Amino acid sequence: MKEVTSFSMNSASDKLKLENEEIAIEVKDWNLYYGSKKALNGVTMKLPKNRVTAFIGPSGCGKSTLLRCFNRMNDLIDSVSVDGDILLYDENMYSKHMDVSALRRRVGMVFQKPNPFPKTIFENVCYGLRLQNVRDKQVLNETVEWALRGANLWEEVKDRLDENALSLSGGQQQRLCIARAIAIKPEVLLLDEPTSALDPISTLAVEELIFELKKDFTILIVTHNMQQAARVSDYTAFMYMGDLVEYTDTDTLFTNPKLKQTEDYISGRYG
Amino acid sequence: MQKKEFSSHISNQLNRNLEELFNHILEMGGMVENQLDMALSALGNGDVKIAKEVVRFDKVINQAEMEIDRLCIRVLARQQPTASDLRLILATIRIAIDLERMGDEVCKLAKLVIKFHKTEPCTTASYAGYAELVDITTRSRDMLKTTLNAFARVSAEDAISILDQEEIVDQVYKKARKDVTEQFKKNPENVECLLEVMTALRASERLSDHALNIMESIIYLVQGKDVRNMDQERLTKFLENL
Ligand SMILES: Nc1ncnc2c1ncn2[C@@H]1O[C@H](COP(=O)(O)OP(=O)(O)OP(=O)(O)O)[C@@H](O)[C@H]1O
Ligand SMILES: [Mg+2]
Repeated sequence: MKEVTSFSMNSASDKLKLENEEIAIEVKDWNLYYGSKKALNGVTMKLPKNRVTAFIGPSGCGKSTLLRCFNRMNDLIDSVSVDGDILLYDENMYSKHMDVSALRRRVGMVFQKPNPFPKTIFENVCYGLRLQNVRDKQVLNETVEWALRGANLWEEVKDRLDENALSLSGGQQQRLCIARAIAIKPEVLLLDEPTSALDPISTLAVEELIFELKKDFTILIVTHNMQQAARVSDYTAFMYMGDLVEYTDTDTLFTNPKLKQTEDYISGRYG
Repeated sequence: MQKKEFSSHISNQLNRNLEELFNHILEMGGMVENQLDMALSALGNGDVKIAKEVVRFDKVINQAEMEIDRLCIRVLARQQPTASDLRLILATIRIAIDLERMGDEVCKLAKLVIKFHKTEPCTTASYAGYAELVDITTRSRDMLKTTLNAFARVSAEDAISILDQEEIVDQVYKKARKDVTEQFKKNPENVECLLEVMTALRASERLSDHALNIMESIIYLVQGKDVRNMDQERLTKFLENL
């Protein structure tokens, strides 16, 4: 007879450890200023590959600012200056030689407010591919279907791909934007409050989608919804006034955070 | 960690619910303590009336446990507590289970008194282990009191002070078992009474075990660390760093 010496329920007791992860993005002593105002304060962190990392923290703490750094969206803002390093698989994102549009193909982004282009559903999804001069009709068709299925929208729109994307509901538009972002198969997906405009069912659908997508992508998500961070993420970073305060596996952060400041925030206490 | 942190949420409803949980546990704990006091008095005077009262009271304690479960479920479903709040819920559920079991064990003590009253005559010899029974029960009651106070103050330090008592209980229990076993041999005609004493002894020893479990739940609440089944060495180390 086999002797039973220990009991382990994998899902419950296998704790994620950052040391064991392959790292997709490494942030080193990263500072960002809007003019003379400092918005990010010496942020240092490693973001693991094929995981979901959530960024939480009070409004104005710098979550969106940090997220935008990961595909150099901040370049578009004149007053911004930065120092420090951000590496995407050991490649310095901010080096002079970095091809920024190539970088943005590798790091896709979905914004808080769905922002479909005033074009057909089909054209929205294959927009990135057209920019890459993909002309093969079959490739386009297949990619559009794959991306729409991935975004959990295919069944709802497969018969109306030629309709204007603006005719979709808010939740459908948001999933369309996710489809558009994944259509170019980026390595990293940045989501800035992707469900803040959605109803609970669409929200759950997007969360489920995030769970599916992490097999292929590294996902960074900003959310104001603490329960959402707890549900979808593997790691959670708590930010406060431009500082990265506490960053650890989500289980630990939500059951036994190290710092009182984190505890007060996640449990809704007066700080 | 301080108790007042559980009432510093922005949501007053959550503050109220958590406060209620504390109060329910303390109330339920108070009931078991009271039940233990009655059992001790029944044991001391062979008072059957009080003993029957103890047994009847068990129902109320069972209800208290269910009430606490209901409140915990409600807070989980409606307020999604996190961090220390979440640990409070889990600790509360566990403590309520231990208190309910303590109630059951106390009933066994009371039933001894009732049995002794019926089984005539119980000779002096059949009272082997009886003094130890009272001793262990008294210590268990004190341990319970200490842990309840520790829970009320959310203090792991206060809770672990029961470990000394636990050691004494262990020794007294061993001695009592030996005494009773000897009487089995010497006075086999008393076997019925002696078996009853043995059952009650085990019940009283279980009481202290449950107090120990409550201590562990309090440590989990305060430190977020599960110390159940830690070997003595690791536990000592952990407690030293508290
Ligand atoms: N374009 C900008 N120009 C100047 N200051 C900015 C700009 N964008 C953001 N800031 C400032 O930088 C700080 C961080 O803003 P950011 O948008 O990153 O916060 P956030 O954590 O995403 O907040 P929210 O949760 O409200 O979206 C804020 O003080 C904000 O006012
Ligand atoms: Mg933002």
